[in-house]
Amino acid sequence: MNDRDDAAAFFGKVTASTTHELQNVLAIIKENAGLMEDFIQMGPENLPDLLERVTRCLGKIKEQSYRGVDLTSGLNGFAHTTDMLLVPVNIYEIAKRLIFLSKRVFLQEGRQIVLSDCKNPPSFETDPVLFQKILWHCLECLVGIQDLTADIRVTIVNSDAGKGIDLCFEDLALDNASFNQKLQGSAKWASIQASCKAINLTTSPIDQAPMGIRILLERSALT
Amino acid sequence: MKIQKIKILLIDDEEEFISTLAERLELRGYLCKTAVDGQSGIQMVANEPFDIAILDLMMPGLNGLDTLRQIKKITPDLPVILLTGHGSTKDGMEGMRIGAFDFLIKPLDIYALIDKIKLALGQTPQVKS
Repeated sequence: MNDRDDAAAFFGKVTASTTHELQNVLAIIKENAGLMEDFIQMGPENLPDLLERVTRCLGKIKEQSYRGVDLTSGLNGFAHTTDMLLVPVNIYEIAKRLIFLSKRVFLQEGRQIVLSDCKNPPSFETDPVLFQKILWHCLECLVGIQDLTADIRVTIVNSDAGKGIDLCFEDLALDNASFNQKLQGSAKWASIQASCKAINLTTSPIDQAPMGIRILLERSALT
Repeated sequence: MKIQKIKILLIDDEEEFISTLAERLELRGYLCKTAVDGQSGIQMVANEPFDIAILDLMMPGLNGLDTLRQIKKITPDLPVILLTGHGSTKDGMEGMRIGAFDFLIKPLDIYALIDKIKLALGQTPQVKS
């Protein structure tokens, strides 16, 4: 698969998952509107707690509207990352949006992706599509290690060790050699490394607990 | 509006969706129970009798198709109507191959759902009133 097809497949998966969730939001709104119609058809004389019931429906509609707005705003921001080839990227913000939008995809695999808070996230100028694709493939790579079922924690790195991002299993019992073998044996690993090289990132396995993948910016890439 | 008490199991991880759908079906005389994941749904089917199940295909953990397979092992004759999103009709067709009665696309039309329930139970569907 070439880079363009690969990026299209990644965008397709995230979009499909997000729009599926939006359908659920709309389904809830539709059912609550329908329920209020049912109440009207029944007549207030048959429903002594009509006001309470209608208020509950309206509350749910309002709550789902907020959820829908969050999803569409996230999806819109994600879509606009294709606008320019090179932009300043705040690592925390871009990871936060991607994790929010792809939550459902990984939940389907029984995994939760958790992002640690970060007060002072690094920024750098890069191709945002390629950067997100790398994060996505790293998550897929970790989730694809079949016998590990732990959730994954994403942490922004901004220290003397460098600037970048760690994606690690929350809880893992595996020896270093097995982990390295599984990770580097994964079909995606070579492609992740090639993509990282293209945008001045380095990637390496973290083979001590918490195990995972570290992506670091090369010094020349920092803004 | 009142019809004979038919017992429906609704399985969907969107709790707000199934609780509202259950309330709408109950207003129409059905008896509803809900499960928010495939595993709980399977357990409920194993523990008590239902006339029909309505099952979402896209759920975290045990997905809809795997849940359907398990349900069909426990109660092969239980009619199951699948719920799916646009673009996932392939999964709906696959579900029918496994033994689902039919599938509907979310967001639902309550009248289409009730017609489908009636058809699955061998009753005559009614035109929207």
